[in-house]
Amino acid sequence: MLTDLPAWAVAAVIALGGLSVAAGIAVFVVDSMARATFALLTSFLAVAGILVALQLPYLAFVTALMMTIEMALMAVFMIMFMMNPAGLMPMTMVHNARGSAVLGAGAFVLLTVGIWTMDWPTRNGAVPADSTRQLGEAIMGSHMLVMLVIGVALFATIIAGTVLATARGRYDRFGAELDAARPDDPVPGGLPR
Amino acid sequence: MDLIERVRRWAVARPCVLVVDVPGSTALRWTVEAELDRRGWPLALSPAGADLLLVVGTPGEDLAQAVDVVWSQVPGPRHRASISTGDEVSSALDAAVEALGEAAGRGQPGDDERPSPGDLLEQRGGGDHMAMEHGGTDADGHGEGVPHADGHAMDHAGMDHGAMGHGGHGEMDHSGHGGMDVAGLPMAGTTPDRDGLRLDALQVSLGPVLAGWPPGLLLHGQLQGDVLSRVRLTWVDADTGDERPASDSGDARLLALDHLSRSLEVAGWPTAARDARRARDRLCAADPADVEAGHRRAARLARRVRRSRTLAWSLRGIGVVGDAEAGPFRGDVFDRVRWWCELASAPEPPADVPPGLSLERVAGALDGAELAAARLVVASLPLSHPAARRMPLSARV
Amino acid sequence: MSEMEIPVGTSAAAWGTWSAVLTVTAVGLLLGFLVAATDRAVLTGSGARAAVGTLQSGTRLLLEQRRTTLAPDSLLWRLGCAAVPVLALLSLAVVPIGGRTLLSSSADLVWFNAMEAVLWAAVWLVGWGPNAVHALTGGYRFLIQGLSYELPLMFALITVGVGAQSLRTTNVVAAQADLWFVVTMPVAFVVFLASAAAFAFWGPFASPAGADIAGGVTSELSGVDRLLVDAGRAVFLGAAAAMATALFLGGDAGPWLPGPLWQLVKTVGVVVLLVVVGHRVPVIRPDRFVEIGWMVLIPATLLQALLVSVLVLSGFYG
Repeated sequence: MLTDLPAWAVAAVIALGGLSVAAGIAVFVVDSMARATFALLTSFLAVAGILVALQLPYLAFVTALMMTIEMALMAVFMIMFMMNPAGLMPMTMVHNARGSAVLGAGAFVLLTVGIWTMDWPTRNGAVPADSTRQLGEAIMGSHMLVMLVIGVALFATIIAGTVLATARGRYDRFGAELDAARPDDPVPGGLPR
Repeated sequence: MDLIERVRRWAVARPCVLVVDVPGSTALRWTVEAELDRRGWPLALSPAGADLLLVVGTPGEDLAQAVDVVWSQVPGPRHRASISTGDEVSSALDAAVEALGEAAGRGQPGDDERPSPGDLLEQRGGGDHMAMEHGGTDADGHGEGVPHADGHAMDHAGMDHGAMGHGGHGEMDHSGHGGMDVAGLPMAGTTPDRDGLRLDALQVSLGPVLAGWPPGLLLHGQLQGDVLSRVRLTWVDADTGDERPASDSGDARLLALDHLSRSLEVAGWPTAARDARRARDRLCAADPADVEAGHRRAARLARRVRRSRTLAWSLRGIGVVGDAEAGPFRGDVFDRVRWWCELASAPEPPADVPPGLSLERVAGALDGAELAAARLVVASLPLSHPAARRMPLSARV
Repeated sequence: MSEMEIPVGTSAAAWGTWSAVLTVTAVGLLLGFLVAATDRAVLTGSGARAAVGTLQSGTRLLLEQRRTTLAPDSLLWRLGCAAVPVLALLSLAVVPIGGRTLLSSSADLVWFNAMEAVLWAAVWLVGWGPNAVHALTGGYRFLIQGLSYELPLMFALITVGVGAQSLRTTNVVAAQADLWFVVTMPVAFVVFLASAAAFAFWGPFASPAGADIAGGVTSELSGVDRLLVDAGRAVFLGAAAAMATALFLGGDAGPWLPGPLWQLVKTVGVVVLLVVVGHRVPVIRPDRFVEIGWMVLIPATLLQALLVSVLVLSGFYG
């Protein structure tokens, strides 16, 4: 696998992999929510870099894009719940330290053993000229059903999560008979309704 | 003068100016703003962005302390100047830019003259009372206590919020785990919020040195996310019996344009705010032709503002003042902006303008408002000053 | 479509890595200067003097003292400041300059989008770092604004990719040989320009740096830090204008004049259009824009993508 790659790519994968693991460890070492969030982001960006080295640009850029937005959203919730900017309040980033350590180490051992003992299939066929096109054809072709199901399931999860989290439903906004002309919101939106 | 020094002087030849206007020196501020506009010197929004700190008028004791705190946050090369009469504006600005050039020419200033944030904290904090007053540190006003029964915090009103009102981490009265602090700053505690959640709350104070903010006004409140609550408004140096000079405001149209420029600045429409300032400057002039041009300008601006759909869409429904007592200031921020427009473009100066609203009324309107909405409300409403109330506007025309 | 899949060599391969990087940096700085000077000219009404004024204030910031605040998170703060211009230049790496891009992959449009997404993190850090309320408020205003424009921007970029049947910028330019994409994708064009203003938090989308919060994310910045952030915003806006030229206005295509000149003319045109139109309207409040973004812009860009997909299937683009 790795041996198919040019030497620089192998070196990049090793270096970025190390960075990714180190940043992942940093998440639990630092004492501020912001630093933990951005250590995690560094880890994800390093994984995106690995994908670049493996010549999968689309997956790499999408990983960087999605993970950054995800971390930024985490930051929003961090501010919403804590008004202590700049990490003024040092706080530990680990909870149930022993249990998580055991779980983490167990998972690590399991995965590593799996990776090195598995009989990986050898590549048949050549490396595609355009991995993005191949990916698109796979998603929109042979794997379309899977992707659609996953997409709809994720979307439904998001909606359900929002519905469960929000304290105000449509009856609060439009009245018991749902006949109010304008929703009763604490902050009006931008549409004239 | 070597090349590097010349470059340094050239770089500050058009400095960013942070104007501190003292209550009662409105007309003087107009002259200063006109001169700054003419020279193309931009106005700074915060001490960090300023090169020149310009105090317009003679500040009272508390405001002077606030100005000191703001000054401690201005990065070098910097210069501080004050202007107290209208005749000296141009020469004072010339002298200021000359002095600033001197300061810049000397090269990168050291930090030795500047008090460290921690020092200011200790000076102001005192340590003998719960309400920590370190508003005036480089850290931009980390907190200031809510007034306590002993009124201690009140004594310092004006000095502990000099820092552009960057709010701070308030004291811990409500959280029940007091005593936790980092870098001398108490942490935010949780209190119930507008939407029925329990969120961390910061004690903040805004003013008195803030762009687009009524001179000398102080806002104390609690910030959760960007929602303000427990708002209290005070005037700096209110107890010293501030005498407002009669020159304060001749023409109600000028006042209207001043309110318009402030509201438009806060609403984020700098080109329209600039037009309002220019119209005001022309109307101020002695030459009748200039006044006529100023009037045309004001009418044009009023038309533009009233017709702006984006502005209407942005300001609709914000800061609604309901009752009839508010007179022409009833309605939301956009209604008031339109009212100012009408007043500004009136062919003849109106005889009288209703008195401003009391601070308590305005503070009530700010409760539960977001920071942006609160700024718009304050900018759009005329506030009654204790000294101004004794002197109705018609008496001064 | 197969004739469009001719990969044009990157500028790094054609001109050598260092000269290509220097070219992109220089072009980025020039674009940033163009944006800043035009902006100043419109804002102060001072005309050509604005160009000198821009240089002057840039120099002033270079020589100014950097300041700090009480208990800041310096590491994250300075990192955020430095990231803004770096990301702006990186996003320019996939914009064709002289017909070639510095980087070229089969996912250029996603790269451009990803650089803008990483900017979310950078701007938020600039707001978080100094430990001050106005800066922090500005930081999360930016994120709220981002949530409103991000999906419409993605759909606008996807529409372009669908029309060109490639995510490579040079292919997108080549696909417009017969007809500029702006003709069939006007909604995507407008949304792209609005998003550009939004991620550079400039003009009507400047509320993260608004006057009502004393300059917001920039309120605690001085000296080099302020220069980096302000220049980064200007370069981002300039890069987006150049990208809009490549994606919607046929890139360097045009009669009589040489290609690069056409590209320059179009880019300058887009910048002037953005700045002049942008300053005619007041700041759009993020809490109002959220609803427009989700209820109007997302459906509009989806319909735009549908229209383009149907056109592609009907063989409209050849």
